Amino acid sequence: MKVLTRAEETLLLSILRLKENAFALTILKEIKQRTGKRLTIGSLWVSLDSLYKKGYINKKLAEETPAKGGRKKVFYSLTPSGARALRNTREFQKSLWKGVERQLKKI
Amino acid sequence: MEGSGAAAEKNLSVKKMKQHTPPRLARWLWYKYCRDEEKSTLVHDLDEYFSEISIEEKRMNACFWYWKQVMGSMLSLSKQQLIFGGTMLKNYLKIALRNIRRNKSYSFINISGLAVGMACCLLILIWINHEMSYDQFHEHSDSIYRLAYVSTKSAHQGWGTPYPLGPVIKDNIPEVEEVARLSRLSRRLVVYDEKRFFESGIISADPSILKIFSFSFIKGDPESALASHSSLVATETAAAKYFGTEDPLGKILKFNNSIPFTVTGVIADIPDNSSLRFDFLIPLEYLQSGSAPTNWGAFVYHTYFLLKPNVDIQDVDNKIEKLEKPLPHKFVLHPFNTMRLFGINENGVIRSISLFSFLAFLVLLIACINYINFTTARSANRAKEIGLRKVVGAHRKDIIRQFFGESIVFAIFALCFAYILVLLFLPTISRLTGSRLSINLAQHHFILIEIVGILLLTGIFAGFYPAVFLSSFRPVKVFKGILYSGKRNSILRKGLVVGQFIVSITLIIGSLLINEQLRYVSHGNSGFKKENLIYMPMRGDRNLWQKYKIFKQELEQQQDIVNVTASTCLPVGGMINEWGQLDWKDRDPEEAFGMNHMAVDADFLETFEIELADGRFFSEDLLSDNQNFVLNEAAVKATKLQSPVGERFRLFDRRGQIIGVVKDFHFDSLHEEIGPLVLQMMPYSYWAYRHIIFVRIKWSGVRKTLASMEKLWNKHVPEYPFEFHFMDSSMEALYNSEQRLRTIVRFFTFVSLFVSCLGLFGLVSFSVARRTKEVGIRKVLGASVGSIIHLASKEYIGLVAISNVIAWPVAYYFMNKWLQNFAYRINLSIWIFILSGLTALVLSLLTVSFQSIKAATANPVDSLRYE
Repeated sequence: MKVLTRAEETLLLSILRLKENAFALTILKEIKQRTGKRLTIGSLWVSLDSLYKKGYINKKLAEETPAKGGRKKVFYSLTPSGARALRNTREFQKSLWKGVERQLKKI
Repeated sequence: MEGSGAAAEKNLSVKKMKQHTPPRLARWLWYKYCRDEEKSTLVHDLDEYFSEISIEEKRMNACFWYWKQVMGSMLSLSKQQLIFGGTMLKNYLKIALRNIRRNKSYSFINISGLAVGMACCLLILIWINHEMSYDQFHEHSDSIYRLAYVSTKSAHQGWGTPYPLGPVIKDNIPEVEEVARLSRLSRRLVVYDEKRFFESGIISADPSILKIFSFSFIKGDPESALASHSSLVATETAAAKYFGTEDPLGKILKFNNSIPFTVTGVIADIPDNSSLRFDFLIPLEYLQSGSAPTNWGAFVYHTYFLLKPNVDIQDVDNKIEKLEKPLPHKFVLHPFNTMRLFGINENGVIRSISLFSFLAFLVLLIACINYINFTTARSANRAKEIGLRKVVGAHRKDIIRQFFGESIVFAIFALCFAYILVLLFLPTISRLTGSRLSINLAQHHFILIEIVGILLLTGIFAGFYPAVFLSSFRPVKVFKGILYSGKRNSILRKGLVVGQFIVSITLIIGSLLINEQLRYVSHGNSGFKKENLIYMPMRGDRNLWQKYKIFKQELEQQQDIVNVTASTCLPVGGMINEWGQLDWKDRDPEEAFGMNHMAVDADFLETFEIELADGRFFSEDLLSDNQNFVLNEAAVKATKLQSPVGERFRLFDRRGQIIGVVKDFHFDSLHEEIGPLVLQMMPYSYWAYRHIIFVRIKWSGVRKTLASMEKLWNKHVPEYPFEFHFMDSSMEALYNSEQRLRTIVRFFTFVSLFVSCLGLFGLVSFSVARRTKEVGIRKVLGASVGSIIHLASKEYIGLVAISNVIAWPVAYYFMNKWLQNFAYRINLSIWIFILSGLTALVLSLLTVSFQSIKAATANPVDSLRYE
């Protein structure tokens, strides 16, 4: 069972959340908003690239409609394998946390 | 991309306000960095983000943020690329090393060949660096110029200039800052207490010489060091030779036992790379006792100028030409710091530099050819690897990169060996070039760049063709087993082998011819017998001559001494040439004419064993002979006298008759035609303090004879140390540069032959290895050993034969040109060419047969066992 790292998880979740509008700029903003992390656009690119190579995400070079600015963007979307990896990670976390929440509160 | 970028920008500027554009430089960088289509979208992403941020934040902060984004992004993107590239590089390196290890013999041949070639190049480079550094250490080296005269007859130039010219130029041309004349003194005896040495490194010069050149003073003051007429500046070593640890300042050195000089300064030893060298420096006034300052006729002084900075040298030359002077000659300035390289009359080292670097380059080329040949010959072994790489997605440029990388790995290995070779051969080369060379990486950073340059050059040179060729393999064909038959390649390979042997054979012919010519000049008939002839310079004070007669008599009594004579100069290289003061019957006064002249005593002819062509030689019994002359045949020809004997002749103030004609003999190097010569009878007052005693000895007891000569010398001339030379070795010294050429060409011949044969060896062993089975079958079917050797060797021997045909005319052309330097030269005989061709043929035959005999005598069972 493949478990994602926290960074990969964050990225994949952001892409999932942004649906059709997932491209570098929106992902960057999403991550900043959710986690407070300020990535550079280049390092984001590198991480996305490695996710792409692992087969978790697809990318598509497409032109926007002129109304939205009419320029080219690389849009990202989850592949089934990416979705599976996210689900696996979620299961894994659940199993890790199972039954320890109450213990945690005692301390 | 550009278009869409511009469009987006326009859109942005419509939507946002103008001040929300990102910092230009950062954006430009970012734009340039994101070259591919996908990444270029990032530029606009960042633009958009920036404009949002710049609304909330101050512009300064926004810009700072943008810069941080760009720099950080470039860093992480580069890091990613590097990691990916790095793994591939590691793979290439691994494959390259594996290949080197797997084929040890080929790798060895390749690497050793390349190492030899690179070592040659490195050695030559070190030498060139040394030559280029000549005379650069003077503070004003850019503004120092040396005056040369241009001969009225030809374009020939010389460094000698008349005494009064320098100061006249300085007084009349404002661009001239300083002038210094200097003159090199002939050998003097220098005495301090008991210490007495002959010194040849004495220069007399104007005091301003210390302002023009920057010699570093250890003791004394450059301003005042040469102020007094009897002052002297010595180098550290020279001073230590006389004074040891004592303080040299104020000490007195005596020249020729009579003239005292006070040491007023000591300078550090003159660096190796200085063309101006001396041990002692004395003021010029020392020489000038009387008439000389107005003498425009004697071209014996060297004149140096320090010009003001940024002066147009052409302009100064023109001004010098316009100066009024009582001479027909033209004078030109030569820059001092390139004097070593270019010299005058094209006699600088630049010619040897270009020749030797060309030869070194050729050797490197031959080694690279070996690499190319091996790699393409063995391409079949790499075909599958290349095919697979292509199948899994390698582009052609990746394969090219890989093979370039491989050749550079080879070159790096070779460089390590080359470095060791350089260290081994540096002393030899230093001796050959006569300069102390060193490879000091810390001191000369430049050499590092050159080493890397050679490395890359070799790598690219050797790797280019294999890379292009191997990367052209089509995977489909490779895996189907259709290998490139490589017809084109085998033709190329053969062509390259022919090229290698053309170079080698040309060099063999060259070195044999140089050898022959040198043997001819040093052992050929020079018109007199130079063997067993010893000479003793008897320079010094004038009263030495008084002792000559008695000294001669006692010498002649020694049993192994055949003859003794004396003359005013050495009949070897450069005699005094007199232009004006000659006259004879019907001389054409318009014709410029010079004659060498020399005074000798009556036994000269007999001692030198020169033949008389006409008339008689001088006789001691006839007093009138003091006024008479003897000419050589060349002089008779030049004077156009029909029957010279008995004709009137004048030289300086002597008027007399021509009493005889001697046959021509070589008193100069064989580069020159025998010039006209006029002989006079000694003693001749003008040269009274300068003569040379010649002694013809029997070779049998040379040691004993020399000992008895020394004893007699010490008896008669105790104030001077005994000194002798052999005539034949002095004559040999005329050909020093030719001898050096011979050694270096011989060296390159050997190296290029070695590397070519190495390549041949590799190729043959490869083709034999590929044909093991064929040979096995042939043997089983009854082929003889001889026929198999023939089979394996004929191809390559044929190539060497072809190379011969091409090399001969090439060598003929170059050697003929070289021989033109000599007025007297050997004929280019066909035998030398044939001999060189045979040498190459025999050597290559030996190389080839080593492998082919091995193949031919192998037991066919071994090669066919597994079929």
